[in-house]
Amino acid sequence: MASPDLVHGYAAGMLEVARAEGMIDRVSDELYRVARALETSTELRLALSDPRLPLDRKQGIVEDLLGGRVLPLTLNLVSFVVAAGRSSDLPAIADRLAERAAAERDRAVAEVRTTFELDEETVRRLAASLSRATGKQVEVKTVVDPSLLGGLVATVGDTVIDGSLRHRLEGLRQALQRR
Amino acid sequence: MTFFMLQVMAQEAEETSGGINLILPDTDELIAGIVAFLIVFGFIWFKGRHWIGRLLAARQEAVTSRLNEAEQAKVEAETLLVERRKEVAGAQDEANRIVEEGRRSAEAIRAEILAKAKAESDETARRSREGIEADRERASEQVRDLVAVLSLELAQQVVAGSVDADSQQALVNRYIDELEGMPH
Repeated sequence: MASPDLVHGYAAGMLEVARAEGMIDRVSDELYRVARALETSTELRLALSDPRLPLDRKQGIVEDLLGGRVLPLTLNLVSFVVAAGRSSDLPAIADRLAERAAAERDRAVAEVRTTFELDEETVRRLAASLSRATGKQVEVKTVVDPSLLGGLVATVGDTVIDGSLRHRLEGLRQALQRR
Repeated sequence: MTFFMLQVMAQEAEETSGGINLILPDTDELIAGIVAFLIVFGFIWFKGRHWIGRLLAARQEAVTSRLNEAEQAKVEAETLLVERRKEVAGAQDEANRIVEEGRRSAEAIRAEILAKAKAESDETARRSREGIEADRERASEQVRDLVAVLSLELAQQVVAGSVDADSQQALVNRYIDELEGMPH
């Protein structure tokens, strides 16, 4: 795990590149999604961080996964991090980049996990509701996580609001164990 | 008295030798002898009377002293006997006291051992009961955990198979509604 300064440095550099290209929001959002995918896929994480795997193979994997699905700039930034041997730090770098981008607009990042892709209207309502609930203007980053079974989990800073079916079933399990 | 003895002797001599005259002195000689005897007797009486008296007194005193000593010894012996009897009686009492004390001590030790054994027995029984209760509670918890896990797995399978896209959207919408209803 890289030091906070190193993560901060990578995030700041990549943010400046995105700013120069005028695509901070989209690049930030895409990097956030890539980071979450990397977190949930153990095989992908191990492959990209395997020191025995040649760099061109790693680049090939990244291009196969992201090519055509994200902006070329996002693809290049991910390739840059992988080439630097920091693929395991990509989630932290993406988080930091999203936080900085949101902070520049006086906003906080709200990570929202659901079992399916939310439409824009739902994201907008959710952002408004979370802003009211937390007292902060939030910028929603959505992550698809089928393990939730249903509902959603919103994380804003240290605040976690868990409305997932998995959480409710877990509460049910604990209640059964306490009886 | 002496004269009488002489007569007796003369008579005996008369009877054995055939005549008292063979042994009896003449009358003058006899009178002179008697007078001499009386003089000697008187001298001895005059001179030895006090000595004999003192001797007898000393003898009497000695006898009396010995009698007193004997009496004293007897008294002392009786006193000693009484003391010894008292001592024997005291020793008997002491022996009885020691025996009684030993009996009481033995009784106390016995009672203590019994109490200790009972306490240990009770403690062992209590621990056994607690152990059984703990085992029962553990087994019960394990069963509860197993039931809970199985129930959760079953519920997850049911939910995963029964929640369609509309239901998922409805869950998200309800979540948002609940958020909007939260106090600011």
